[in-house]
Amino acid sequence: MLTRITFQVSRFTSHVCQHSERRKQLIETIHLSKKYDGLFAVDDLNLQVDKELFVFLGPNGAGKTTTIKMMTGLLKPTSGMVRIEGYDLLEQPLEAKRLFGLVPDTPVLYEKLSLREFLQFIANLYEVDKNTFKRRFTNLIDLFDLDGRVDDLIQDFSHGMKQKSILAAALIHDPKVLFLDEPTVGLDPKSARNLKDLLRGLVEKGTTVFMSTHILEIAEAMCDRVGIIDKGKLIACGNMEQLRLQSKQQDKSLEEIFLELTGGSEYDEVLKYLEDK
Amino acid sequence: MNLKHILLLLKLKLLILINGFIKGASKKRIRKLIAVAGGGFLFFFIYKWIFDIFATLGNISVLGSALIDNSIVMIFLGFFIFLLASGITVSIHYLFISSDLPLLMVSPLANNTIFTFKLIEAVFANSTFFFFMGIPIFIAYGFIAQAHWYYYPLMIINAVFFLTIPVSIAFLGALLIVRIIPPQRAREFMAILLGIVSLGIWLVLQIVRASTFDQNSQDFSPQTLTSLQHLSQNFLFNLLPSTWTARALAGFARSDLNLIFFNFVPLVIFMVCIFNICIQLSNNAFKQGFISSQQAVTLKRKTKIQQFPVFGSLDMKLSFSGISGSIFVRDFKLLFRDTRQLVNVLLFAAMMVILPLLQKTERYESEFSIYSPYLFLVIFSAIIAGQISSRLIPIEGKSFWITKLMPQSSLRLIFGKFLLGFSLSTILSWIAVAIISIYFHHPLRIVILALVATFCLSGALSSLGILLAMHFSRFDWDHPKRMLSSTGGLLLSLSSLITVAIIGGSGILVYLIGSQFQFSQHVLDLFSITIVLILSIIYIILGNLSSAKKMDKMEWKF
Repeated sequence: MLTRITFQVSRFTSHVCQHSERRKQLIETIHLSKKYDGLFAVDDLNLQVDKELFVFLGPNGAGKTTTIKMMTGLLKPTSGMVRIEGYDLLEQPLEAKRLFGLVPDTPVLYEKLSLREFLQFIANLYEVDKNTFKRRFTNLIDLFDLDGRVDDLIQDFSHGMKQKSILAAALIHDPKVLFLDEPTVGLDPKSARNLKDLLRGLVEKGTTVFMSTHILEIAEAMCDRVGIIDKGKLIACGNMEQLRLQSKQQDKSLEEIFLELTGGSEYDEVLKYLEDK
Repeated sequence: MNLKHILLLLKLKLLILINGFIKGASKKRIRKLIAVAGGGFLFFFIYKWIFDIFATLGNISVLGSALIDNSIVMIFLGFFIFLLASGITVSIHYLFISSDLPLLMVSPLANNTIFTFKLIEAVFANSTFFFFMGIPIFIAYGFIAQAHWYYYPLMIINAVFFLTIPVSIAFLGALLIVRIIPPQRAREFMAILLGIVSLGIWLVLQIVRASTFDQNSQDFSPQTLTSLQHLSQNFLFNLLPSTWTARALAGFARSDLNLIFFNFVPLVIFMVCIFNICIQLSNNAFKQGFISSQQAVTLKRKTKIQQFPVFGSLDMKLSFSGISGSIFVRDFKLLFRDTRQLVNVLLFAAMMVILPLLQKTERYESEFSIYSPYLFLVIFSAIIAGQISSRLIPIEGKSFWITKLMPQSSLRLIFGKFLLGFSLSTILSWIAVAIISIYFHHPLRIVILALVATFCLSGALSSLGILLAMHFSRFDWDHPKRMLSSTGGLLLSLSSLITVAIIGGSGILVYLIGSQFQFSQHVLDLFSITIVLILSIIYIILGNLSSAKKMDKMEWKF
């Protein structure tokens, strides 16, 4: 049976979860909240993320996707603000939008465009010049193993290929910040591994990656810092070492910390079901 | 076949249907009430239209009754052809694309149970249009024939047996078609066929009126009457299930047991046979690997960019620079590579030409008779401009977030869409103006006025269409006719008519006021054109600005 970890949750929620360096942060949320029908989907979120791979964890319905949608301007916050490299997303949306790319949880694309047309369209709107586009296009197609399918309509792509296409679209303008919402869903093991290597490589070259995922092994293996959200509130934030220190359980894995914090290890219920069976 | 399982599946279907009607916000209930009221009006309109035709035919001595019966035969034949086309589209959806298919295929249900359920689903899905159009016709027939009370329940039973036949044949057709082309593409091709059949029916509705058979009317057509009269002499007609259904209906109306026995009995036997054959063949096809639950996926082939004969080369060559240009090109491709959208636009274009041509202006004697076809065309082209443009927002579907995320001013993005809707509707309406002016040999002045009017109103209505689409788009729905919510659709229709009335009316008003001051015709034309142009520009500016503002405020919740 899993051991219950005693946690001082309030310690993590009372202050800003910030990067160690104090300078202009690439992603900053200040008292960010979103209310739906009287309920907070995201509640007073304060985050600072800069030139690192930040993994955002949380159970289903915790507010991960809502947070990413607010960070990218797809949803308007009920209160609070989002800044991308100092640009207020509401006040200076165009300056902020130029800096990031988004990979959503479901790869919905223009089914009646070919991949080449789709990427060309995205590059046009981000005002990427022709030569740069050609170079990046070739690199991304090679990277995601999409060679030979660039002139096929996207409607004929598998889920994984669509996921790769949307990744390529998010990278075509070489963003400073990359938001990814569950990016590994639908990817084969090789592509998932490629993605992990790519994200680490991007971070090393100075890109900020903000990624939500359910896969705790990925989070533990590749992230610089983790933020755990539950019922809209940020309940823990820091690197693995800090999380363990805060939990006073040095030998615990991220999975155990996460499950304890979010109340996910309903072990008694599992046992009861198995006994009844 | 397990009847218990089928009933269980049907119960589930019924539950979904009831929940759809009963549950939901009060706002939706109001919309449903409006839809029911609108439906009731249309129902009564069809009843009245058919009743008048039957009454006129009935007045023709000796032949009257036979002519009415032959009309019913033709009506059922029309339904049969329409149901065949729509049945294939619907069957492809339920057999290969429907989202519940994987769930059913892995559940412990016999294959023929699943196929029976799917066939019943297809019959049910096709029944809405058939009953909505058919019931008022059958009621009108019953009243004309002075039928007994039992005619009315029996006409429903008769209709259900009839409905099952074309849908079952279509079900088998769907199995064959997806062997040749992938299901998604097959559905699109069938949508074209359905569009053509719909256009044919619409044309018949335009041409066949009660006055067509009235010898005292100017519209009287002796050829139509003769064709109708000799219909029963055609041997092939006697072999069609639609003819049996029509004659069985006549039997019920007149309590003629002879007619009932020789038509209703074969109809029932044929229906039972075709239904069972359909289930058995589907089952065998499944066993032999002819179809599978994964067929929707496995049958998909690599689709290279399709080249439509008319638009193909244009599609490939289109590459505008700039932000609005990129949006224009992208939306053009999305619109014309979607067969259903393409068919819809082409149907609009066809209606734009045909409808004004049906206006028999030579019979009007007033000085304004010359304007009649153009007036019709201008109104119709304006409405179509609104319809086409309103699709350019929801056509992106759930991918609309991509456009919303772009680091560009919303006005430029919206303007790209406006430009496409405007140019497309202007081109279509100008083609229609050209055809009509050549057909009627009208003077150049009238043609120029029509060109300017359609140009201005296309701009105003395109802007309006985009604005309403920004507010009422259904991004999770890709059917060309249902891309706006029902409220949005209704508002678009109403506001289109109001806009045409405001802009067109202002032009006419200026002309009439000016004519009081003895201005020459050229000056009056210039005054009218100027006011129409100014009002259209105001509409365009306000519409685009409001759409862009809405886009900025809009939250993406999909």
